[in-house]
Amino acid sequence: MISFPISINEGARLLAEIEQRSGQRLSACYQCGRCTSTCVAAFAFDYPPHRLMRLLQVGMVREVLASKTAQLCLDCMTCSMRCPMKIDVAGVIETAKAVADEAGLQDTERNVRLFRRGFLNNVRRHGRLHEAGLLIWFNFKTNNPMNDVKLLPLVLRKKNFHIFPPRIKNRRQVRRLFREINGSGKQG
Amino acid sequence: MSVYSYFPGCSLSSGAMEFDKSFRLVAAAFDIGLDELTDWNCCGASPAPHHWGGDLGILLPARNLHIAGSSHDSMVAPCAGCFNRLKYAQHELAHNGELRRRTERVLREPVHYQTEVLNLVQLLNREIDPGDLAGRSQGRLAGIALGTYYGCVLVRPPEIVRYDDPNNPVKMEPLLKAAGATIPHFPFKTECCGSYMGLARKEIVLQASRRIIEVTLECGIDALVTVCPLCHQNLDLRQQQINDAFGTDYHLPVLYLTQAIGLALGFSPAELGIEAHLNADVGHWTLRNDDQ
Amino acid sequence: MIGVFICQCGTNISATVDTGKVAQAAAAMRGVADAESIQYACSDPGQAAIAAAIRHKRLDRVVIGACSPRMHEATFRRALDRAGLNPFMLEMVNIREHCSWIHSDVDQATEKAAGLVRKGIARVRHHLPLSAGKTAAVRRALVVGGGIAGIQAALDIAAAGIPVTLVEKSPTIGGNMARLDKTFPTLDCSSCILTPLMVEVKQHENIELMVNSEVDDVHGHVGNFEVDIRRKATCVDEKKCSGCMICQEKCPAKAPDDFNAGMGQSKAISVASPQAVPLVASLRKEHCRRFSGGKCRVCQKLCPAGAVDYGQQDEVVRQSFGAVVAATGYGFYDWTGAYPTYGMGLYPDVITSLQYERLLSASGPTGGHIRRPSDGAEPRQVVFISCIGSRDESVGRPQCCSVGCMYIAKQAILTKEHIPDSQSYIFYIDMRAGGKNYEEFARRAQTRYGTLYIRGRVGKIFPRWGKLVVMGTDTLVGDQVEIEADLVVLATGLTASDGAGGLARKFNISCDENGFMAEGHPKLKPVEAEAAGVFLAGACQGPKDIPATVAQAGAAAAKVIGLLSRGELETSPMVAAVSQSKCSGCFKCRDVCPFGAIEDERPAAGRTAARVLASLCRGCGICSAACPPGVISLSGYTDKQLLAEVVAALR
Ligand SMILES: Cc1cc2nc3c(=O)[nH]c(=O)nc-3n(C[C@H](O)[C@H](O)[C@H](O)COP(=O)(O)OP(=O)(O)OC[C@H]3O[C@@H](n4cnc5c(N)ncnc54)[C@H](O)[C@@H]3O)c2cc1C
Ligand code: SF4
Ligand code: SF4
Repeated sequence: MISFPISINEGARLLAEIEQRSGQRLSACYQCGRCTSTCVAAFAFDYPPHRLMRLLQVGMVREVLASKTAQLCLDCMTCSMRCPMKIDVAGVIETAKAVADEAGLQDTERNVRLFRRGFLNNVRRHGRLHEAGLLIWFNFKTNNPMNDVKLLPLVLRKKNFHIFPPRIKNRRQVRRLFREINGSGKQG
Repeated sequence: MSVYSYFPGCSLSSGAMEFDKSFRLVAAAFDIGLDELTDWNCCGASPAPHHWGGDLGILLPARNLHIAGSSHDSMVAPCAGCFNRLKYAQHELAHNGELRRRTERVLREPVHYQTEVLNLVQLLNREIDPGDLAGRSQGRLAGIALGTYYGCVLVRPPEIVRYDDPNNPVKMEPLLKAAGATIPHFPFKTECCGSYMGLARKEIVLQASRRIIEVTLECGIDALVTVCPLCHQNLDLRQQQINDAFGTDYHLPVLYLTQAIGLALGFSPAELGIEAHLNADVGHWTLRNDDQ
Repeated sequence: MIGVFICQCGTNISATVDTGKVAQAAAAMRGVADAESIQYACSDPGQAAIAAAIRHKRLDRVVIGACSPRMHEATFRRALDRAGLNPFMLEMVNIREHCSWIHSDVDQATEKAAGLVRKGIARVRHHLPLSAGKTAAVRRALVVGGGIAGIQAALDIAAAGIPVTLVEKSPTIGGNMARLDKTFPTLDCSSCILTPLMVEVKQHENIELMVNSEVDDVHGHVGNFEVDIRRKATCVDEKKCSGCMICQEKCPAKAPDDFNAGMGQSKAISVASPQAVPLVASLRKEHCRRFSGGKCRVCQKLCPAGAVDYGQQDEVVRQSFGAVVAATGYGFYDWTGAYPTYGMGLYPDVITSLQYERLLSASGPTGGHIRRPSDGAEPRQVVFISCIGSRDESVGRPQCCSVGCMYIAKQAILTKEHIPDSQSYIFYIDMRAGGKNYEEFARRAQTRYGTLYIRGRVGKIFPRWGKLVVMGTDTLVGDQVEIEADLVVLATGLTASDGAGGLARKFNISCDENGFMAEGHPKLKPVEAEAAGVFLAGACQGPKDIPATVAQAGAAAAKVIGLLSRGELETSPMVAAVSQSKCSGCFKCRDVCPFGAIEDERPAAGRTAARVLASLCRGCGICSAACPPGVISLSGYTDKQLLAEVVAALR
């Protein structure tokens, strides 16, 4: 059951924060579902985009912050382009995700978060992405050693493919970039 | 000869090396000077803006903008993802003083972020005269139906990338038409391919990309043309995974724009790196037409 | 002796403006004999209080601080008149729209209101008694647009014995209703109820029908509009043509079928439809072979009546009218550019609701059998999508089309009646069925006809294996939906009709932000345009269904009859006058007057001076500002009055 008014719970504060940071009018959504209709990831979400918008409208912000949707949204912005009320739906989801990150509220879709973290750590180390390294690390971490391994021979046909990590010279500067965000974001 | 600062990005220097190869060939053919950025770093791709609050998605490309901007007025990023990240960073650096200060704290000097950032289609449209291309291509692609697949990040968000009609982009068409190909109506040219979920949430990519391939074939298209290495990976490299998952038997070639133009110019599929693709079966196109 | 009355307008004014204080401030001004705050000045007791004060305190001029003069100036003038005072000794000060409704700070709003009232008092001191004149009104009405609105208005006016000219730009009257199949909520056949009225128009002795005609130019004003009507050349003599359609049969040049909304084909020379009134052919030069340099003269050779005349020219006729009804109806939103994800018009089986009406209609291109355009097959799965170009801010159209929900329900019902084993799906956002028996009708579409209503919008349509895949959402289930449809019908929004804007400018009708003609007041003047003597009927004023259109047309007719049955009209005394003895005869005024109200006169031998024709003068004051020696004054707006106001404002 949803209890109104929502102003009595923490929902109101988080809601205001999401509205303000995303710059979107959540109240403009009239639940037409057009955002959902062509979202390629919606089948894997717990809340399709239009329902996520509705949850926010009624103040169920915690559900949104902890949702699979926030973790899985591809930010492809298809929804934003199609919303008849010109709401940047992807921007709203993105903001919700950032808020969840900062508050440490995500507890779902571990693999996806792991991939993003692994990717960025890989870049932190070398300055550029080492695809093979990321694949091996990710498969090891997720206990799924054969994941995409069949693709390797195909990739190896490309002569440039790096078996060993590419490394840039000024790796220190790149690391400083990473250190710069320590202040604002959790490195979870 | 105009010279551009060239940002290849991680993909073009490894998994999508054939994109780099074909780009350099086409650039040379049209006398476009490319000057690779020294010591560039990864632009952050899709994970950076979506992790740890997202600021890395600005800071990482900002360093590249700075390197290019220190020596050139214009830069080209053929990878659609890199292009999008660079445009984003440029926009944020211009409008967000706090981020600009943080960037400069790391760089230890004022950041050059105002250099012009071009995507591949913009660059080729600027540098290649369609009449010239038509003359050199001698109808090698005649009768070949190409699907222009723009994907998401090349055209969205429109207020940041400021490029083409986001709902119905058409800017690839003049070049491909000049190369002799036909461009049928293709309703999925901006639908998402599933982005970076290939490793962690494979079914999203497989389902999204399958739909695109299915519609492509339904439209009577012989090959898709893209400028995004991630899209390419999902649509070509993973096509066998799609066939395995859905019991389909797709063999749809997916070309980089420069490969398509390269074919028209008479380069062989091997020279253009097409042979490294899962679906490399395009040799007969030009052969057929050369024979005639 | 000035009386000042500050209206509280319930709490409309008093909540933000301290009316007592404003009255107090006024009372302190020179010449003010009485100043009070009144709860509702316009009410019976309010007017009585004003009248009582006029009598008891011997007031000779009155300032009322209340709403806009557009709302109640006439009311208070009558009140003054009844109390024995010249009605023009009134000054209204708008402290509602200009103060209380737009401000929130009470002190500041009160101060502003007091200032405005101070100006009014300064001005009223210079008021002079004026009296309204009378002019004869031409006893003939013009109706522009021959849809159901124009037809109904013309018939009602003509029935009262007032002659009417009905001007229609297309070759037949009937408008969009003539293109509909059956009509909600009763499913009567549109032609069956409309055609008799169309014929009656043609036969009525008081109605002159002009088709293929448009208003070219307008002069004059209420009571006497002089209108140039252009009858466009159609290369067919209307009087000779019998409507046998032999020309249409034999004409070799294909042309788009406008009447059938582009479904099917017509010829360069054609009769719009078998029910057309008048039943006369017309030739469209842009499609005719002869006019594009060819030698063809088939129609002229074959016409048994000898009606075809390639040399026919446009003809402009001037007529005078006492009043005008605009009934230009609506047009259709062009969705193809705005909804690229629906195929931009490239998929033949994605059609508009009007095109679907033509497929349903027995007089349509398929003889009333539903056949989809691509291959002529009978569709089994039909998808209707509502709100295309309506309620959609991303295409700049936030408004509701107000008829879509109902006509979609109707079309779904008719689909089932035509093809019993078909299934219709309706994508909707909210169901709007507010009219009498509408909800019951729409309900039947679901319960009796098995229409599946899906609450959600559609994101994309694309072709696959000879079908159309419709990707949408069922927001009630909370999941994506995909339908393989044979035919998709888009309920496109209604726009103002082409050229409505041009006509509006000619008659000084203002238009709202969506291009529809604006009524004088949303509640109290729903059929009056802002320009006097001009009335609105039907969808030109805003999207509406047939019952509402007919009701509005009847109301507009009643207003016209009321206006013209008196034979003469009161004219405003607020007109310009030239002090001829001081006029230098430069005639700058004649150059600037937008209404042609200045003429020259010889007050004495060897001297010409300007004179204002009071019957044409609209009191705009442009001449008075332009006059180099400053000898034109506008009654009610004399220099004295304006300067007094400015001085008071600056104090
Ligand atoms: C698909 C569809 C289905 C509908 N079904 C129903 C239904 O079942 N029941 C119902 O009640 N309503 C229905 N409606 C609504 C109905 O069509 C309108 O209420 C009605 O047609 C309005 O009549 P009108 O005379 O105001 O306008 P119109 O029918 O548009 O007539 C206007 C006329 O003015 C003419 N004109 C325009 N400009 C000029 C000009 N400058 N000079 C001279 N002439 C001009 C036009 O040519 C036209 O003949 C439907 C609407 C649509 C779109
Ligand atoms: S498309 Fe826009 S208005 Fe419609 S449900 Fe999604 S966010 Fe709301
Ligand atoms: S941005 Fe996210 S929610 Fe929107 S369509 Fe793409 S994946 Fe779906």
